Amino acid sequence: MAETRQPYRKLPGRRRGFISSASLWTGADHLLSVRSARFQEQYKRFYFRDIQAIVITKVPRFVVPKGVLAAALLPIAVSILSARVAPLAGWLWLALAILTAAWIYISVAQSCTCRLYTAVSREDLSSIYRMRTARKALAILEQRVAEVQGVFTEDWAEAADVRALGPAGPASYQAEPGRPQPAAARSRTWVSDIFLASLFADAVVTTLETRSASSWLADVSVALTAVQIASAIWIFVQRHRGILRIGMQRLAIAALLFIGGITYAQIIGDTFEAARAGKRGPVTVRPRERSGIVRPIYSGGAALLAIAGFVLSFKPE
Amino acid sequence: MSIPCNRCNRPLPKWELAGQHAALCPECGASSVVRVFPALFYAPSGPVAAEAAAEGESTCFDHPAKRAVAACSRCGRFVCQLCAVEFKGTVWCPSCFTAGEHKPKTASEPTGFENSRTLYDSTALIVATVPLLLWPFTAISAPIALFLAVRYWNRPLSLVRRWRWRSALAAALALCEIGGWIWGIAYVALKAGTGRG
Repeated sequence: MAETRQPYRKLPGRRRGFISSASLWTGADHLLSVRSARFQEQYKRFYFRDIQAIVITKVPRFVVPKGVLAAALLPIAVSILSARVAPLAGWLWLALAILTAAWIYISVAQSCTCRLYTAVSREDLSSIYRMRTARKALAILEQRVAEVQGVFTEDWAEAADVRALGPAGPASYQAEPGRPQPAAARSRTWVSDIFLASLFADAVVTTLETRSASSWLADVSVALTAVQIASAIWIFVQRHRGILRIGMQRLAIAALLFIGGITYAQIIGDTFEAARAGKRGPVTVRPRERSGIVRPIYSGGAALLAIAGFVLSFKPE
Repeated sequence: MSIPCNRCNRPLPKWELAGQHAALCPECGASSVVRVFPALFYAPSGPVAAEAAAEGESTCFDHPAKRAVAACSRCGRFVCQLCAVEFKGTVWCPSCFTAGEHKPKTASEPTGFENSRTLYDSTALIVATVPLLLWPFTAISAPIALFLAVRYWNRPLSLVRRWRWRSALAAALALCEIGGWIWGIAYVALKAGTGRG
């Protein structure tokens, strides 16, 4: 029996990461939880007739959405711009400070976890993590569930005292079949060690390059970048197999984006320099050596990523 | 009390739950909004007992000693009371229900009771865009992205999305990247030819 294609309406709230995202949708008779891993979506249906309770608890949650990540890239833009447009750089720093303060306030005072109970399941709704969104989603869900189940005519709190909510057993993470068990994942492997070591070494080499530019240092830096790319890809594989924790994968993604961003920044910088010098014709792309302001940004960024990686590596398992 | 706090998993006291607004957890102090629905008070259904089959009676495919009560609407196997899974007004056998989530091959085909779906359109778009960060990789990735976008054009999209713009954008980007490579190679070849001449 195939169910006909039914329209879904999105509930407020969405959790977006670089790799995964989560959202909630309401169908004709059920709530659909969608977890997307870019290449694949996992679905869970909770029929309105089966929903026993929804509990939203105010807790601090430091979720970093894509918008905040984009804002975090502002310092790089500021560093590049400050060399050319000084007044604009001041405003950018101010905007960054306001954004950071707002994010900290929302994370501490306006965040929550949302859990849905049926007789046989207990599901954390990860797409709902801010109070404002939770209230909006709850209002819609309450209405849909009430249409199916009706409403209480007597005091439920007394009666609820003797009923068991959700499935038997303690609240704990229940892994879906076929998905890697998070308990088995490790903080570090030899691949992540190589990745971090190459990041750190690249930061050192690029700093040395800033002081004394020589071609062999540039060659070493290129080789280290190649090692970073290869080990980052292998980190994805290890994460997919459930060997590594997600934190290291996120760091690998950040490193790849950083390397790519720096490469393009170098090209754009060279184009500007050429334009200022009044050169015409194609600009020579320098894939091997980083120059000017790009070098300190690269070495600083690589060092920061390496430090973040070391912290992640030694987090208790 | 059986409604736990999301933060510490300790039960919330009933006097807190009786309040109309937020319930405060006495253990961790976290404030919770609790909505309970009548389903909590439905009578739990007990285990289903399947009847033993008498001689000459049809029996369940998986339990030969039990009397069949229905046939699976997908595979036709006989099922006993225990095995019969009622779904949308029809009866399924457990194996069809678990393994036979009918995955449609085209977008026009009706969807089954799926719990996952591969997103070929997103895959094509990622393969077309991410290698742009390190552009030499586009020499390999662009043809792959074009293949994915064209080959799986008719495959169903996400259950909740309707538009095919990802596939279209992936194909367009991949064509641009391939065009760029062809132009670049032709430019270098022509320049080399002019240099020799």
